[in-house]
Amino acid sequence: MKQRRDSVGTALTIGSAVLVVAALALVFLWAPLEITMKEVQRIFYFHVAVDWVGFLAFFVTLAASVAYLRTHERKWDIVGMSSVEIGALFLTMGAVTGSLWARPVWNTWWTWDARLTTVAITWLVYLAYLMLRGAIDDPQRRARFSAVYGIVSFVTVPLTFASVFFLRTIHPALFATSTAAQGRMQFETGLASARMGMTLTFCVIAFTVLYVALLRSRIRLERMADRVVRLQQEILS
Amino acid sequence: MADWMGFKNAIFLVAAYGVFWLGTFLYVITLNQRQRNLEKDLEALEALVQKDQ
Repeated sequence: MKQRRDSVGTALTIGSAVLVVAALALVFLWAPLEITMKEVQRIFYFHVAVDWVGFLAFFVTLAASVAYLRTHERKWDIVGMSSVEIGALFLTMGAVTGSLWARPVWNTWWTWDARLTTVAITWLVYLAYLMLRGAIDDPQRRARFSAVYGIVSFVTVPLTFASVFFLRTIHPALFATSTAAQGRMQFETGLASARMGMTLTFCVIAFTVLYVALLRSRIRLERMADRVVRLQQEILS
Repeated sequence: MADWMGFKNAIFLVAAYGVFWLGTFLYVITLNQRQRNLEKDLEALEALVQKDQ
């Protein structure tokens, strides 16, 4: 049996690919050079964007988990699980790119700084979500437990975000109001700073579209797996 | 010295962007592979159901 053509999915895939390549071009051809860190500061644009997708994915899981507990509809369980899978992948990439940025700038691959520690906790908590799902056989029990876990584990996300404001840290704060904590990035002119902001915004939008495309594909895959299970049961009964 | 530092830092920059592309491509390839396997399973199962009917 041939699957129906997914034109929205195809458009999203092509659109996200074009946007991410355009973001890459902006980062290397248009974004300004930072005074102290020079070229290596360009890691910042994709590092922030992949971390953004990770946290957005966990927020979507939170919303899907609440929806599942209210409705007990399988679709919300699928959305929650698919989003955690993508979020865990992007948070992993965020940690690795952060580490590759930290080595030349902080002279270390890793430090038990408040932000890095809370990110590590978040990563482990969501890996445990995927392990929890693998450990429960009964689909309804698995969905219920995952939904509760998906809600409770979201506590780590605002904790990670707020860690740079309330705890001592060397990690730059993107939305800090005091100049002392504003990422310690310096550009030659105000216009250059504005170009940095615009490039970052474009990267975040491009990666959000990529997330939507990946989430859609993952949900489609899980629905297909459900159909396989249903047919297997039909044949056995 | 400054050239050497610049070259060394460029390696980190390339590695960081490489991690993103590699991670994303591997995930997309995995999704495609899983989809292909499921499509094969579906075809086989639907053929079985039609045969039974």
